[in-house]
Amino acid sequence: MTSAERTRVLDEQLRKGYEVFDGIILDERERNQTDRNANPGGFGRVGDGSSESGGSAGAAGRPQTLPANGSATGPQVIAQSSTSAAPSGASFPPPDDIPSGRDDDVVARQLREAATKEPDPELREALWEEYRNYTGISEQ
Amino acid sequence: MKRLSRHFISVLMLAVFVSSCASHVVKSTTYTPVIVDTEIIPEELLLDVGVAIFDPGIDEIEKSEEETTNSQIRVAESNFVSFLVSETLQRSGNWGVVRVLPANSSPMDVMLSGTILQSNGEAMTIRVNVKDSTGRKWYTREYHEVISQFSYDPSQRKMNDPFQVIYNKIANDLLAYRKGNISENRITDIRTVSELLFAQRFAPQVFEQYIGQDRNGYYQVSRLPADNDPILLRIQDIRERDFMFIDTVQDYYETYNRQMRLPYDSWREQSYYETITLREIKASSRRRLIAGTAAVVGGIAVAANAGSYAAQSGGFAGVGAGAYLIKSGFEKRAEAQIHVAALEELGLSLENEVAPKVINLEDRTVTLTGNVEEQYSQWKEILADLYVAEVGEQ
Repeated sequence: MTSAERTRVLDEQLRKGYEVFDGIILDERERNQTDRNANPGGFGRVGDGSSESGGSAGAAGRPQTLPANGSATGPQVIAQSSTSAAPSGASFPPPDDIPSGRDDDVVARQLREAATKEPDPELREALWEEYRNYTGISEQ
Repeated sequence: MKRLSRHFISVLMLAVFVSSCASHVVKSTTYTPVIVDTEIIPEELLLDVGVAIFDPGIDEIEKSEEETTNSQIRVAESNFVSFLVSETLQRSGNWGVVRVLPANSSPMDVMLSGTILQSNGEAMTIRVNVKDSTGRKWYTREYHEVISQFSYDPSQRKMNDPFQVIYNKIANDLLAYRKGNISENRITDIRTVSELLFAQRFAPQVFEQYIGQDRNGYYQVSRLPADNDPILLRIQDIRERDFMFIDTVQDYYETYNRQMRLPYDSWREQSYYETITLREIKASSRRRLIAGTAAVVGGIAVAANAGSYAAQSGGFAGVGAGAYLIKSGFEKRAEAQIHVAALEELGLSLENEVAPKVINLEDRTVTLTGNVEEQYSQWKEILADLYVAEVGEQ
């Protein structure tokens, strides 16, 4: 086997390893989302014993912010590109034709995540359509 | 004789004064918001921050607080507080990615660690250490806040954690330090060192040539790999996955905080009132015992040296009053024990509720970390083989 062939084989092993890894992470995220939906307590109407389900995880702990120039402008929060900062409300189950997602790569996983979290049914279906096109389900 | 009587009256008045004194605790009613840097920072100059799970500070609990501090709750708090600090920093928008890092294995540009020194619902003290990926220490600071009853008002609690002001101050100090002490060049160095440390973890044979340590032990970049270095490109894919792993762990902590918040807040509120009552009763007991002892000693002295029946009677009256104060001091001490027991009971009640959540959080984190590390070990071997194969190609 030449070095180039050996490199290709090793790269393929690495790619398969990524798939396994992405599957592990996706499973954990789904499990965590299920747990969160089952235990919505915590952030919400604290004090009166009730709680709200869904909503941003940080809603209750959201810090009030102030620009560096010192003038108060009321609460303002800068959205960051973080998983936890994104709305983590109810999860919408995938349509029947969507497989488990264990073999999804990063892009497919992100599409799946966005679709399961999208409350607007039209947008959600558009995201699933994009997922189908990307993963090749629509061609099968 | 007159002098002795005057002395006795002074002692008695002092005793009455001491026993009626009240101690005061200064409480903060001002709210410090998080400062958002108005300067627009290019993405390549944003520093990522890792927040290590705080040390619960069990070894540093003061003797006077040992009986009212529940170590299991401290452990639960250390997870809770670490997440709130990371969330506050993330939402300030002043940093890149901010994540809780239980294992502390992934190099981040800035690492913030902390120890909870006190937390009883009324007061919280946290010691924070900050360093960057080069190993340079930024600072160590202590934050202490005594909150007012207002912080437990339901309308306030809907908005913020009762101790949000501490997390805001931590975030503001971190921003102030970065703006005042860290130049753009240094930010670039810190970011490069983090990337190379991560790369070195996966392919040490390739990346050890790019990073070294100076005589103080701080990491420094020796030289830079080529942008199109094939091993570096693969490691960038791996780092993206490492961030996915860290994000997933962050999700665990977020869920944990959601589950913990209601029972923990309820405990803190009850603990707040019990702590205040206990402190007041203990202070009252101490004052009564001091005043009573002073009155007894003074009364005995007057009675022993009295030249008249009236003065002797006055002395005995002083002894009687002192004895009464001492008795009431002991009664207050017994009353304090009731509140100590109440605090212990409150602690046990919360412990029963949160301990399984802590175990679940730790189990899931350890399991996922184990699975991920297993993958990482395989990738390290593949990368080593790839390096040999690609060197052979050249």
